[in-house]
Amino acid sequence: MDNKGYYKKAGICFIVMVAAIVLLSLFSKDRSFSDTENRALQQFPGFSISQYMEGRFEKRMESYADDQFPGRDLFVKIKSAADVTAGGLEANGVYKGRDGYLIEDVTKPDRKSLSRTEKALADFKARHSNVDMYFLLAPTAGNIMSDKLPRSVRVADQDAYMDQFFKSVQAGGINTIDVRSELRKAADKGTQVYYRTDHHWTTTGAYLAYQKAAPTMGLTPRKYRKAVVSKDFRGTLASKSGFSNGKNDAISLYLPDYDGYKQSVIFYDDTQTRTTKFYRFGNLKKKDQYTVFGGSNHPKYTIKTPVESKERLLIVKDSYANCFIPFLTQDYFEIVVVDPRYYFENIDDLMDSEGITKVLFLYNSDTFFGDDSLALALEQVE
Amino acid sequence: MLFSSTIFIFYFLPITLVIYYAIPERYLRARNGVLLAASLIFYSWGEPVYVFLMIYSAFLNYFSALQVRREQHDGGTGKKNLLFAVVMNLFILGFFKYYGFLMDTINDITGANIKYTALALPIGISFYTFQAMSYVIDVYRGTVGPQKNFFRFALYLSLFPQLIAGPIVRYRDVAEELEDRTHSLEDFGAGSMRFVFGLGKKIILANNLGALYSSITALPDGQVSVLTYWIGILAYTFQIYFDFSGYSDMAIGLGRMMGFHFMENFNYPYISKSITEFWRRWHMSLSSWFREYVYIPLGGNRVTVPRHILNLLIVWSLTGLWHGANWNFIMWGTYFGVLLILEKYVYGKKIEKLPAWGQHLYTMVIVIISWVFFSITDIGQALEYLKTMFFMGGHPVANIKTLYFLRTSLVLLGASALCSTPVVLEKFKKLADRYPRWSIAVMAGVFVLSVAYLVFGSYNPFLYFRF
Repeated sequence: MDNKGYYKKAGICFIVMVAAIVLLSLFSKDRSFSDTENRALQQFPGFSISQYMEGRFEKRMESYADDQFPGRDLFVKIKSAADVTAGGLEANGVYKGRDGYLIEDVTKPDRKSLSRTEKALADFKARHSNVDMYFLLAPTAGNIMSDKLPRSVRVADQDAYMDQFFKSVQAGGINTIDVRSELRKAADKGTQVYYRTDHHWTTTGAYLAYQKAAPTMGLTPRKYRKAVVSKDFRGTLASKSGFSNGKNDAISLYLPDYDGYKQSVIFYDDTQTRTTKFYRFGNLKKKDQYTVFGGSNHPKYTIKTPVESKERLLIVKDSYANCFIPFLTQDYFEIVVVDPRYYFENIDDLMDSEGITKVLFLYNSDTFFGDDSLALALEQVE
Repeated sequence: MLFSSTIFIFYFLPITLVIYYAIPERYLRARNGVLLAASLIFYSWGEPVYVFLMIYSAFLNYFSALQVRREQHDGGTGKKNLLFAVVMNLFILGFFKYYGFLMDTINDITGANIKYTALALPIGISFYTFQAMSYVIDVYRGTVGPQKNFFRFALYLSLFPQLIAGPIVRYRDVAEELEDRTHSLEDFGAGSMRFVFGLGKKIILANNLGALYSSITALPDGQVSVLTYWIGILAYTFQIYFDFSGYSDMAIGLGRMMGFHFMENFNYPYISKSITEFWRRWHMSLSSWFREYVYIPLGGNRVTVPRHILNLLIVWSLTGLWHGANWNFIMWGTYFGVLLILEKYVYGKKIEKLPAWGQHLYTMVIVIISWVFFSITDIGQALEYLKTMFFMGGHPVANIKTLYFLRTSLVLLGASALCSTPVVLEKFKKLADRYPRWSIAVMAGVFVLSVAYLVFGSYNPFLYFRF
């Protein structure tokens, strides 16, 4: 350390490291969107004195420096590797479980906003007393796959929250669809009902749920067969945590295994597009392959199928429904799908204008307990 | 702006250094100009208004010192001018830092319920006000001549490496370097190495320890256990040390990269064998400031025993108050004052007779308990935390959460304990002597890992912003 030139070398090393990153960011093109993080990235902010004095320019500039950092994904991997080496089991709320499972912590409901949602649901049902309503609240991997969690991790008791919620909804006159035991049984037998790297259920999980839901909704469950369409899916949990686990996920579709299947026509309101295809195979080449199920989140779309049934179904849902909806098309003349996180129009008006005869709410517990958009959508504006 | 941010390391610092070094060394004034401009941008970043307060403080102290010297030159004492400057400095500090606290206290005592709006604390005000006061007092005492050039004085006060979190550099320690300093690649390299290790302390250790501590304090009552709370406060103990000393390392390193030599601020405080020793090793620039400008003027220890005890209590409650505008900080300071008095007058000799491990244990337990009061501003909650630590909270000794925290944080805590002793640096020096390249690779590794955590983390709060 005391020998001559030692610190010179250290200084040069420092300069080279900093300069390398500065040059890389100077000569690489700014990105506008991060696939891994699934969000828009900050662009170079415009400068004005007033923006500077308010501190807004500085904030944007800092986000810009972070967002456009060269080799962001690589650095995230380095960080995760270091964490795991040091015994880390969790990153950004995601646990590194056994058998390559990444499992998100269970969301605890906020008592107040949950009661508000429960009341909004009961009031909504009361306003449309002649319409049958169903609530399918799906459990998440943190509950069903809890045996895959690291031994020292205990997540909150999702079952207790769900039980309580089901009770309250039933009291309001809405039928509940509880798929927990079906999913648990399948999982115990080794069937993969949740993705290892993504927070969604697999299509198998959705199919099991459909088998359970159909009788409750007065339908005869139909038979579908499984077809694997991708074997290299790395989902949101992998991105969120930065954990690199050994196993990629497979995505499968469930195709009708019976005669007389009728093609549906889907109309997306936000993009004003009409299509007959549920699945977007192009998205399998993208980062978020789950978007093979109808693309990213749409505020509202309509599915029309020339079947004999005259029922018109409204589905109020989150992304768990995306791989579930195709199972229902053959039993409803029209299905209107609404995601209240993005749909801000009056749902009562929609009920009337579309002549809705049945309503299905389909959510996963984590989204549902952590979000009050459903209450907002159902409450009547005074 | 924070040192531990991408904007600082990859935008602000390189741009500043390139312009700074593009100017030939013989034009030191121009280099100083660059540094002053950079410091003002650094300070104004994110909250530009208070830069005017700092400039005002610079004017105030610059002219006060000149006036003091003029009075003395004309045969006066300059005492009144000194007093004016000190009162003004304390007024500024008092208004911006303690106004809310004062109003709360008045409202509590009198029940007057006077409404007020608390001000945002100007960053670094506790540090630069103390620096400014040391300057005027030193000029009054004749230890140093007044700075005639305003910009040079403004540079001293606003110098960005030490602006936000110290060390509290006395003017007389850098007076010469402001006017004449040498630059070399050797110095630059030593400085950058110091900077990188400080960055590592802050980002790799302190931030992760901070996350551990806050996840433990956020536990619902049913999941708390005795051992978990010990892990929590141990994490905080290390966090505050690495956070603060890491920041000092970065400041010293950055200064060195531009030819400045700041005083050391920490000297392995957690290896101390007594509280007296601890305070000779912890935040040295602050304790020496209080010794020089408060304790000794009060008479120091060359007074009667009761008076000495009073002096110690005054100094330590003020030290506490400096750390934050709240009762818990005053309590924290007084707690140390009392312990120092006890060591001095009651059991100091007995402690010295203990075996070394006993002395360490004694010191660390007292220090760790002090951090409970430091970290939890509500005194009632702090007492609850302490009760649990000492088996009086009705919580189990350990539970599954304890196991989780041990499983996930043992390496971090172990590494932190090691890095709190001189062993790691000694080993590093040996490595540097024998395999210089490998040791530089270690530095590069620390840098890359720090950047990785920086890029990943939104979790980057800086503890010493409050002061």
